Order: sequence, then C-alpha cells, then structure tokens
Amino acid sequence: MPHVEVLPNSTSVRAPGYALVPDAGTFQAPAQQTSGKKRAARSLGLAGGDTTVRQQNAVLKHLAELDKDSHRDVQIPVPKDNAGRASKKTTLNVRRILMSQKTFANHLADEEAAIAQQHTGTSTATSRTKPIPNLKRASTSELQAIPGSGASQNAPRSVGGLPPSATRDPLDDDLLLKSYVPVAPSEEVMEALLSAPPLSYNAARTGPPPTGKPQRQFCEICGYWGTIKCMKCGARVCGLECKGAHDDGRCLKFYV
Amino acid sequence: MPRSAKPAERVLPDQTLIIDNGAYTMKAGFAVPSPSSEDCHTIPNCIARDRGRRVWIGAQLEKCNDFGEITFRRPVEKGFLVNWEAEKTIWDNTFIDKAAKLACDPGATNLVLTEAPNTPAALQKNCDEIIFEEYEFASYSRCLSPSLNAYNDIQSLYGVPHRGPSVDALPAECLLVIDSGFSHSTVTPLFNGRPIHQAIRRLDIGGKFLTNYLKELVSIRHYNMLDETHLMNEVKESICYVSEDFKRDLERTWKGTSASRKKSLEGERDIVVDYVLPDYNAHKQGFMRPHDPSLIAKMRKMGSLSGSGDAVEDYMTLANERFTVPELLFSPGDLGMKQEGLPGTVLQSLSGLPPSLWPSMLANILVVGGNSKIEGFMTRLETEIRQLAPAECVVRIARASDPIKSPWLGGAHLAANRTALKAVQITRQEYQEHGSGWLGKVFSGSVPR
Ligand SMILES: [Zn+2]
Ligand SMILES: [Zn+2]
Repeated sequence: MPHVEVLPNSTSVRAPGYALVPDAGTFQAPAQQTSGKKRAARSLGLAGGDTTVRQQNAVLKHLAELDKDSHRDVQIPVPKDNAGRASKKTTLNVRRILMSQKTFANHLADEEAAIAQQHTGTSTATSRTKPIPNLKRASTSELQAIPGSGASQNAPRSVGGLPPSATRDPLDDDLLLKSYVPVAPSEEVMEALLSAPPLSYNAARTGPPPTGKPQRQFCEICGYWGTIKCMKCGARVCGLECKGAHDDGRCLKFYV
Repeated sequence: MPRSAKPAERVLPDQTLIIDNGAYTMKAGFAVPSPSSEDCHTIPNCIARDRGRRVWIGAQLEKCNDFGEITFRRPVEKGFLVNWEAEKTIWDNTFIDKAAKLACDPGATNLVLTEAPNTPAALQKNCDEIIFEEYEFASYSRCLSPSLNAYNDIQSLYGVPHRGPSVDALPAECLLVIDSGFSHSTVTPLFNGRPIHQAIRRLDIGGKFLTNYLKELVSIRHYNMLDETHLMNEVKESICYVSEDFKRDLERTWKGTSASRKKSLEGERDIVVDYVLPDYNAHKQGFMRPHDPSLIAKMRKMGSLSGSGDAVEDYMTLANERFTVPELLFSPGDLGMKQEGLPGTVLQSLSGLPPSLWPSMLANILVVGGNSKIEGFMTRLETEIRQLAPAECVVRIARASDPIKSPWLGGAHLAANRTALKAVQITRQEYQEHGSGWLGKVFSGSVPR
C-alpha cells in the first residue's frame, strides 16, 4: 500500500476495520526532499508538523475560493435601458464612481498602502493620541489576556475586584443582573473609547485561537476523521475505500 | 456631547427611508410611527441572469421561476458596497423608477443607510458623494448596521418587562451585537447606541461561505452542483444544523457504522436525510424528508417507475454535511483557517474594552443575521461563550425576534423620534458647505457635528 501514512492524531478515532501501517519508504519521496523552500518552511516551524508551504498556499486558495460569489467569473452587464439613464448633469465625482471597476481587493490594497505610508511618515503619532494604552488593537498574544483564556498582563484591573455600582438603574432590580453590577468607566474614558477611530479592515479580523489546539482533520471524500494522509498530495482520507476514490479523481488536483 | 445650536434649526422632510444595504438582500422601507416587520421589504441586492440569459434586477426576481444555473452580480462585495454601477441600477429600480416598489423623491426624503463595520474610507466617501451628488437626498446618515439594533426594545427579549414609553427613544446602554450574515460575522460592542470601533472584530465566515462549502461537499459526493449556488443555499437552509456534540454526531453518521449501532447511538432521530431536488420545469420546490433506504426510492430515482405516471424524482442523501458545514462558524480551523470561531471572536472583542464593561456586555448579547436561524446555533453559541467568559459574569444572549430585519426596525424606531433623527442626520446643505472629508469624520464619531 504505497503513499499511505497513518497519523498520530489527538482526536484519532481509527477507522474501524483497518489496520494500516505507516510506510516509512514513501515518506522519503524525492519530492519531499529536494525542495529548499519546503525545508525552509519546516525550519521556520510554520504551522504544525505536516504542513508545507505548498499545502498552506493550497489552504489559502481553497478558503479564497469558498469566499467567492461564484465559482466562475460572472460578467453581467447592466441592462442598456438602465445604464444610460443619467439624464441630468452628473458631477465629476459621480461619473468617476459609476465608472470605477475597482474590486474590494483593489480598495483593500489601497487602504493597506495608505496605512504603510502613514507609518513611515509620522511613526507612532496615531498610537500616541490614543488615551488608554489598552485600547490599542492588541497583538495576538495580548488578545489572550482574558480571564479564562490566559494570564492577564495588560488589563488595567482584574474583573473580580469591581466595586458595586453607586448609581441605581431600574434594570438593577433584574434578578440576573443584581448579583453583579460593575461600576461604569468614567465619562472621559467612555468618550475616548467612543471617539477612537475605526480599525482598518485587516486589523479588525479576529485572531487565531490560543495555540496548542490541534487542527481537526477530516476525510476529504466522506467527511469522517481523516486519519490517513495521502503521501502524494497531503490530503486526508479515512480509510481504503475513500483512498481509492481520492486516487481516482482528486489526488494532486487541489494541491498543485 | 456638545452640539452647536445650528442642527436644531434644521428642517427635515417628514419622510424617512431606511436602507439596511446587505450583500445578499437589502432591507428597505419608509419609517412609520410604530414600525413592524411588515413595513420592511427584503429585496435581493443583485442583478441576476438566468440560463435563458434573461436579466433580472433586484425585486424583479420575485417573478423568476427558474433558478437553475442562475448567476448573480452583487454590488456589495465581502459586505462592502463596492460597485456603484450595479447598485445604482438596483436602487433606481427599487426607489426611483415611477413604478418602483418604494418610489420616492430623494429631495424630499431623509435617508438612513447602513454599512458594515470597518468599511475602507474610500468606499465611504464614494457612498457619501453618490447619496448627495447623484441622488440628492434631503438629509442622510450612514451608520453601522449592528448599531441600529440598539434602538429596538432589547430588554423584552431577555424577558424583562417593557421599559415604558418614556425610555422608548433611548438606545440600549450596553449591547454586544453578534451579526452573522451573508458575507461575514461581526461582533460590535455598543454604548448608548454608539459603536466602540476599536473593539469590533470580524470572522471571515458568513452564509455565502457555508453555502459554497456545502456545494463543494455535495459536488464531491453526489452531483456536480458548482453552478447551483442558489439551490445549494436553499438546501443549506433546510438541512443544516449546529451540532451540540460534534464527535458523537460524526460517529453516528459514519458510513461504516452498522444500523444497529446507529440505533443505539441515536437518541431521538436519525441524522441522515434525503433532499429531493426541485423540478423547475414543473415548478416544484425542493424539500427535505427522512432518509428512505428502500428499493422503491432508489428505483424512483433511477426512473424505473417513471412509466407509472409518476415523475422521475431526484434526491441526494445527506448526513454529516448537515452539521460539518455550520460547524465552521465555531471551528474555522476545520478548514485550516487561522481565525477563532464566533465565541472566541466575542472574547477577542471584549479584550478591546475596559474589563469593567465586560459584565454589562456579556449580560446584553444580541444576535442578528441569517445564520442565527440555523437550528442549534443559539444553544451552541451560548454554551461556548459561557465557557469562555469570566465565571463571575452573567451571560445573557438573545436572538432578535426578526434577525434579518432587526437593524432596519431599529432604524425605523430611531426615525420615529424626530429629535433623535435630527441629531444623526446631515443635510445636503451641510454637505455642500463642509464637504465629504468633514462628513466622513462626523459619521465616524471623531468630529461632533
Ligand atoms: Zn472517508
Ligand atoms: Zn492524493
């Protein structure tokens, strides 16, 4: 059984009825050895264990594919009788906007370029104007500074030690809220919070989960646990039956 | 907040149009004194072309019967209004044409328009210029779609008695809005109806992503559905559920699990279902039914019984697709995406707030958007947020009574209060005096008007 490897997996539920043996020979496949790019990726410790740059790119491509409106490029021109309607005088702005064929990706690139320029120009000016250090968009490590998900270093106060509210709101009598009513931040703090500018599109994206949580792997054919990895392309399958289906139609297709 | 005396003198027309401009549909309608869902129209925000190459614009799709291989052009891309050529065509068809569903004279109408959080500034500027220079609305406010939810009676959703008419006009003080829609899912903390921008977080998975994933799975396992996005969206809406116990359900649906073991694993019902595909020629809708493993069903599918007068029936059997697809909202890592799921995103949002606000936010979570209607979604979300939240915080979470129209309804409540409306609207005259740069700052909250 060439090109088949059983992987150690924390969620590993071995496909009942199969006893596959890892084939050490195929692991030394030439394709796995010669690529310097891949070796570099491994030494950099990119992602966990069996992920190569090529596979990571394949994942990104797959995710981008799933975020599309249509799996093929759709060109639907605006119907003629609608397009030429602008009878009244249009401003330059309006004409420019209506003619623009920029995509969101174009606008995003513009935004990132503008941010990069800002940073080289005035260095930390934007972050200095921010009144509360904790408000700065936290880095990935800071994001985990939440009770329950890690040690808190940057949080100004612990949640536990909040004094009860001095001002009563009718809602305080709600049984659910009665047990725990925090004191609101001062008006200045709230005003600073509320007038702080929006983040960029990229900065607002949620970060990755805390490290240490292994990725679950699924059979790309039937969706069951993917305990077996195809050595040719890295895809996961659950057993021999799905491996056969994979070899017939999908092997190397989505990973080249 | 200090306000100049001038806005109070402004005169706004009586009529207000509210548009919650989503990527999939726009929710639009005119403000009325006590708004309800019926006052809000859901209009496809797209230009579509069917396989007969006929083109349909927005609301015209109501009359379309054949959605086979239909393709869509959407002006709102990834949640953001990008293409005004297409949007103007749809808006003209909806609001301007004489026979339009919501025809109005913009010059005598106030416009309340929503956008998604973290819209690039260039797109906001484009939008403002089109509103005032092309449509020439009398007045306009551009606000985050999640923010408008604060103007609804949120407390009643948690079972708290109505606050009474005196506070009706006031937005909820603290509100954490989870909006899981077509393009993506966002978490927005609000204070008195105003967004705390620095703490807004986004997960790049929405209903479109889920539909595409289901489409891909079905195309591997059953039929090539790559050109049937519309159909697969319907399939998704009727079959998907969020699992309470993912591992258990995956075991229950494994093809190798024997029937007897399946029976013992299953509590109440089998997960496996059949989805009967629609027949557009016969104007028949697709539908879900319990899985029928019998030979008769198979023969009907093959067409062997077609001689008996019954039409050939095409169906596909769906099992783990039902829950592995919406699972992505909770575990994006299942596809290798390096983002935390929705519950973790809520906690990442809170990390951008002073901890003293966390309890009030966690006790006032509102969920909107189409994905919240997936069976099991709310239970799972609540369970996981509880697990992640500080133990001393009460977690209260509710889905809006109409999760699709909730932002529109909030906007209608806002518009019903003239003083509140005046405080947010910018008139065309002000725009002409101060320009679009100033307008952008006003709408982002950094410059008081
Ligand atoms: Zn399999
Ligand atoms: Zn392969």
